Amino acid sequence: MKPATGQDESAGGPVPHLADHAQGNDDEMLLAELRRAVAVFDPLPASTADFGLDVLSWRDPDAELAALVADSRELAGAVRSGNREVLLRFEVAPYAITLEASPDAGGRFRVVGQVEPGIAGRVDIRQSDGAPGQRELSVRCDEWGRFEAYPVAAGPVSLRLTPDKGHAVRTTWVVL
Amino acid sequence: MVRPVTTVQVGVRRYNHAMDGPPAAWVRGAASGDQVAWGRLIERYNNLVWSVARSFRLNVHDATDVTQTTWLRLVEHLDGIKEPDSIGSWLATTTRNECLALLRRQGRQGVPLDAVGEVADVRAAPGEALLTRERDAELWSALNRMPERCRRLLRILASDPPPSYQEVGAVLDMAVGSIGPTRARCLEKLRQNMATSARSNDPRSSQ
Repeated sequence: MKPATGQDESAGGPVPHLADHAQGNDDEMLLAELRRAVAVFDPLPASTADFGLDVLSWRDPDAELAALVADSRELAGAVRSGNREVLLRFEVAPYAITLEASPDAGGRFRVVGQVEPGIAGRVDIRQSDGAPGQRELSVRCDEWGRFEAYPVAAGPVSLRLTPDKGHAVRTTWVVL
Repeated sequence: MVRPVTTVQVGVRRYNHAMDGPPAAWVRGAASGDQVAWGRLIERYNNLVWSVARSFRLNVHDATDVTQTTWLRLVEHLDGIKEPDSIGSWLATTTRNECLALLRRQGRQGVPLDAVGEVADVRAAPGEALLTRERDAELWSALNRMPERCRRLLRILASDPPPSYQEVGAVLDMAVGSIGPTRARCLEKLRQNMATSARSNDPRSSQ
């Protein structure tokens, strides 16, 4: 069987820089072939582009961004079990928002939340994997800062808190 | 006079190079709510984001989540992008971080990683001529038999349109100057993988 061209060249053939040049062209051709194979066997799902186009409407520069400060899934030594309950905590002055998300049998989540300090307002849950028309779920947050939302789709989620008095804040996106 | 227009296929869409602006203009446009500019960013970089996610051997479901999260991350930070000209590197780095976060969350008992390509099915590409199809299947299988670092580098380089070395370096934590030589070495290994599989799989090779 004929040896591969690369082996020909490394065996001392042509002037080095010419060989380099030829090798460079061969590499470009192989990479182009590889790009074609990848497009066939590992194509970009069209749904990701449609999804991406939609999300610019969630641009929300006026609401301050609450950072994720704790995620029960990232605790050192956390033992994984079948239970996918997730505890999350976000903070942005003057608020801390704690969420407890418990999956139902269908893989959707019930989210119980607490805003500290307690404050009444509206909570919009943005769920990027929500069904069409249900990508925002709005619930009330009572005067003690408690709220509950169901069903929340698994996948990326962000909350926007609009207090009855005061400025809105939003949480960074997390994947449930 | 009308300029000749070149188009490149990106996913199922075509876009027009004559309309291209520098990525920084798209970032600024998107930050002011311009949906067209936002669409250009997605057309240009969605395949890179996907390629980075798949280079971590995430399965299709997880890679889709990571791709979505990366775009949401950009929306979240649109006003704070410090170097809009390097938005490709920002996206590549963000995708990598999302992949690592996902793997961390899943822990060792997470969803099994994808065994992509180990059994490439030549019937999966009905539009191609048979020889091209076989060649593609061999390349895809050979890629997935590569040592991890080479496989990841080549999978990202195979993104369409081709990524810049800055973008590749951002994902792999490699100096831009070392990508060229590493690429050459990995492609050479890929050739050897192809030659090996041709010898071991093709009954005609003994003739």
